[in-house]
Amino acid sequence: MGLAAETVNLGRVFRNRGSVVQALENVNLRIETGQIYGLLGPNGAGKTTLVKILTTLLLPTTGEAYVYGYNVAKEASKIRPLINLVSGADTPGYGLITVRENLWFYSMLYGLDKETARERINRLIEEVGLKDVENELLRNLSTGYRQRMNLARGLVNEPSVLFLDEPTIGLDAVSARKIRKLIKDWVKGDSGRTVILTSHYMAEVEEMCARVAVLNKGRVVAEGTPAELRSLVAGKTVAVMEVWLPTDADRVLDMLEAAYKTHDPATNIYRIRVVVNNWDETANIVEHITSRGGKVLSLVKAMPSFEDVYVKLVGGGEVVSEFEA
Amino acid sequence: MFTSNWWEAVKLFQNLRHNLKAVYARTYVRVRSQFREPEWVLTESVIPLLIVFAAATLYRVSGSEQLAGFAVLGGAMMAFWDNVLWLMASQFYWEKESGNLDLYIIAPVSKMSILLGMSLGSIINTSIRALLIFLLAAFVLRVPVNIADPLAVFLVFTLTLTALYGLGMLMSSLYMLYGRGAYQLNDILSEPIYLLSGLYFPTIGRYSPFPAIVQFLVSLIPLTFGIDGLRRTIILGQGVEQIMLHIYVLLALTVALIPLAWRVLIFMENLGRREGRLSLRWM
Ligand SMILES: Nc1ncnc2c1ncn2[C@@H]1O[C@H](COP(=O)(O)OP(=O)(O)O)[C@@H](O)[C@H]1O
Ligand SMILES: [Mg+2]
Repeated sequence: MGLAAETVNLGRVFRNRGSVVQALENVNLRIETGQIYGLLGPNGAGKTTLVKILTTLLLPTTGEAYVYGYNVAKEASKIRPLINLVSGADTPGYGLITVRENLWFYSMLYGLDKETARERINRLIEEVGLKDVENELLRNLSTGYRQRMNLARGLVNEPSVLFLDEPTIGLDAVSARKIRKLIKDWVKGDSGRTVILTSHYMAEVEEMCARVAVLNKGRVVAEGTPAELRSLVAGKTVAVMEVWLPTDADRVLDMLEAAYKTHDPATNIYRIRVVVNNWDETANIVEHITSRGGKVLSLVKAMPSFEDVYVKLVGGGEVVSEFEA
Repeated sequence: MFTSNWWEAVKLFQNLRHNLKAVYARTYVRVRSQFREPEWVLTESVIPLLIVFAAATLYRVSGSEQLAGFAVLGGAMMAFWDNVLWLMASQFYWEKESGNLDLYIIAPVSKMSILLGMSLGSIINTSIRALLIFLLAAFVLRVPVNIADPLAVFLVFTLTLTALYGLGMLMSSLYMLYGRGAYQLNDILSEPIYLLSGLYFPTIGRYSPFPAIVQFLVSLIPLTFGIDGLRRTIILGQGVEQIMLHIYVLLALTVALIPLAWRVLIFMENLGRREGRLSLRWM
């Protein structure tokens, strides 16, 4: 298996009006072909920046990046026919032409001949489930259908590497599941296909990806298969607690590197998860909370999940997940 | 040697075909979209028509039959100018908002083809509107049309459009680079340019009220020589020999503006890749 993408000491800095943001720093990744590769990280981790560099939209400021061995800075024209990009935050296309016409339009940017374009678009409309809306104007489509059309659009040139930047963001659970299945099926369809997918949903990445790089503040903090990453918390335990905290005391949680999903601002009650090496440590945690004026309302022992790995790697704070633990 | 040249030629040809497909597709999108909402053609023709009626009536009352005819042509050309100034210029802005611009950049096709397609689509759409304005106004106002040399009309019209849309293509990138500033400039300049380019009355040649230096400056607006050339060939019945200057000026503008638009487009793409933003200034 060859490399679909590779980065060598890759860095990217943004400078605007005196402020300097190090969006990526010293990123070294080797992404093999034939798999779904995940880039996982919280908002602002640098996922989109990395995707933009690999898709030739943005230049590195330090280091190098390659797609299929071609340098993104110097050989963009060699890379562009091989890739495509679907970004969940965008809604490309033209509202006053139909779904089919939109797909045809994008296929023309790749120079497909008439017959090939027609056959491929027919197939994509079937596979992606756009049959009922193929002759609808794009502007009349629901978000879920629009995202499916966007995915079909990304497949119109049969890319070797498909980049998906948060492809299920903002979708309802049913639509998101459909999109995930479509992506998995597409990769299985041919051994040469690679997907590089970003997400801040750990469950999505765990379910879909053969390998994952976890990004935090522009750096790769862990890399491996989901199983390898899970082993980072092997042998550990999770304390699930309900705590009441005085107003403005959520720094207490930062210090604990605790993750919370639910926080009721009316009652100031948080439901938190903290990874501990052994159960005795929970005594210290309770002590820590009560000494700062908080109260522990309940305390339950649990097995660590993939999510706990993620929290351990990127630090505490609010955790977004569409799969309730 | 022979085989390598031959191979180069084949590749060049394939590349050209690929880009022509992109031009065609982008043109199609624009034209198709307009025909999905044809009522726009009418609503957007109303204001130019009213202005034309007002101006033509004014000239007629003051006894100038030919100037009335000039106003009708000016009104029709106003449709193109509006289209260039407002739609072409802000096109990339909308493309960026929807995410299309990124997709254009990563597509293995010249960005110039996209821009050409946008222009061609706009030209087709606006021609329908301009023709409607011209025919309606000419019919209602009974403007005396006197075409002696259809080839001259065709030449002037085509070159006016290539120069005008060359400017439009240039503006679409400048718009991205200068953001809101460009938009405001557009707003401020649009009325003076209507006036100076001769949409209401001739601003170059013997009917012009302006001194030579102003006449020279206004001739840099592609619209100015275009409108004057059309007046001469459609209303005054002049032939190619009498409008050679017009043809040279419009040709020169076309040849300068289109490659310049290309350069600025490449500059914009490179700026985006380097800086992570397309605007030169921070608003
Ligand atoms: N074009 C840009 N100009 C300035 N800063 C940027 C730009 N793009 C991203 N950033 C900054 O870089 C960091 C990483 O952003 P991004 O790659 O979008 O993260 P993610 O996709 O993981 O949420 C953020 O701090 C963001 O504000
Ligand atoms: Mg992002």
